[in-house]
Amino acid sequence: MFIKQQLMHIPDGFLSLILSLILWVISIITIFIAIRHYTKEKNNQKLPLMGVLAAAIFAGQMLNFNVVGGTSGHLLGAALATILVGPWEAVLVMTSVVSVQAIIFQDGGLLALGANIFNMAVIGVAVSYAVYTILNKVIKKGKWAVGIKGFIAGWCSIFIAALAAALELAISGTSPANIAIPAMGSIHALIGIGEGLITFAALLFISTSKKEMLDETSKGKPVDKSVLVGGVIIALVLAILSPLASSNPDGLEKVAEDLGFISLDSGPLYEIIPDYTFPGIHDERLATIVAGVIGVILIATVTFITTNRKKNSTQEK
Amino acid sequence: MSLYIKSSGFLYSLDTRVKWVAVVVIACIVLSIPIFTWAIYILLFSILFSLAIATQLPVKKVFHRTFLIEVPILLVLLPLPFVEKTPPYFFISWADWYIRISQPELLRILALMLRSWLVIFTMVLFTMTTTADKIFSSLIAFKVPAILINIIQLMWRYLALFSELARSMSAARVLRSVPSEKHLRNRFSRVGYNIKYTGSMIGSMLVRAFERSERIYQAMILRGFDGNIRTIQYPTMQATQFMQIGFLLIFGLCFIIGAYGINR
Repeated sequence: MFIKQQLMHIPDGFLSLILSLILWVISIITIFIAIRHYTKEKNNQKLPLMGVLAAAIFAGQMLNFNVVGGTSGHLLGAALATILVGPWEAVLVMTSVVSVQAIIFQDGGLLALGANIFNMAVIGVAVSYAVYTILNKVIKKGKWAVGIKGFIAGWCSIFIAALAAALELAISGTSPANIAIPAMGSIHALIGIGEGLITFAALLFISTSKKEMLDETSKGKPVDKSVLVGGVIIALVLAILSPLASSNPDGLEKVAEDLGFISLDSGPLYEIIPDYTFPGIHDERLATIVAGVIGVILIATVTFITTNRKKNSTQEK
Repeated sequence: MSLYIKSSGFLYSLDTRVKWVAVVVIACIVLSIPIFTWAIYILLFSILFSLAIATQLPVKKVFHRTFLIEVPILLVLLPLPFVEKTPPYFFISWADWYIRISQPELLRILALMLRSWLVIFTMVLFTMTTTADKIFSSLIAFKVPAILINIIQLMWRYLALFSELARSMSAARVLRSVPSEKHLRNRFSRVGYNIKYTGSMIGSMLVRAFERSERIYQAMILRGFDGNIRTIQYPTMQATQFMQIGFLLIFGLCFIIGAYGINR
């Protein structure tokens, strides 16, 4: 039995026709923008690189690693492609991989291909690029720095893409949100660890054996702000929308409620935002959104302060 | 690597563009009709099955392939009848324990599985009767950007090479890398060990991909590549092919109208 990213390859019949078409349109627009970026850059060497890299990622997906109890996992590769060739090229590489999987190997549907490209090639790439770029500002040096950044980017790309797939299934009425989101979220939170660890090990291998591969893409290339902002927005929207869509209490809380030991919960010493809701706002949904936004602002502030401190201390030295 | 089987028959004689239209039409029929239109599903299956027989395709292989793809889909849908609260229910009891299964939810899952299976069946027929190169190059006719087709074709060309590399690396790992006593004893340590070596193998493949792409680029330059993508001009469609496409569209429309008529 495999723990496969196949769960994320949505087949035909699971998404409504309207949603499939909408996601096709979004994917086509993104692919055209990516092609425009490629033609504008006039780096002809990238064409064979994208083709061969797509083949390597596809073949890399065949390498399963044993986990436990006869289960195994494998790579998705959006984060690795993004880190190695940049976001727009990675969109084209992942689009090629996902398309060949659907057309030749029937891994994912044909009308659902737009949704699969959107989840894996657009969201996967944008989120991993945003996370990797933000972490580039925080973690700069260190033997394992590139691996750690890759791990987090890999995990986020899988988890957020899975949330998107779950929301699409819920919107289409295939599976209720309170089942699809926790199920897909929890499975992919685990699969994401495997993806992150493989990305970590692969990047460490590359940084030791052919470091210039990483230097070419990370140094001297301006940050693509549109992808960065897009990735952050996608991650935030999905992270905030998902708990709203899934109205059931947390899995552990529900089990505690059902078995009657929730009263034993002693509660935390202090709560900044109790139950992810904002005090004073009576509408539960609005309160959750406000709480989510405040959480993001807090994290962004901490990141900003840490980055500035590091920058100042480097300048002083 | 593809499913293509070299043979001749009705499906082989069709133009690739016509087959593309047929696949999309069937997918659209399946997705746009009401979910419980069983008669249409059976009719569609009968037509597809007859086509497979008429083309003398190995039916056992076709079924094997389609059912293999359905397994992960089934795994995703399987919990739904057990957790959904839509009556009436089936009860399976044993001693003090019982399992409640929602009957409408079970039927809905069956219909969903059937829908996705029909599209998979169509796609399998398509890929078994058309070479991968023809499938990709026919995309030009649908105005898919040449750059994307080139990337896909390059990928396809080198996929066999990298798959072989992945296979030989896996075999070498099994034969040569022996985990230490610590890795064998501790489950988490063993998982870490597996992931570390899989990651290194993928890293090694990516390094080789970069090196190979440099050589391919040099070869492309030697053959006159100047950055402009040139594609073969796909032959214009004949009247027969236009008629076949027209027939397919009418066929699709009739099915959709018929499905809504049955469901009234």
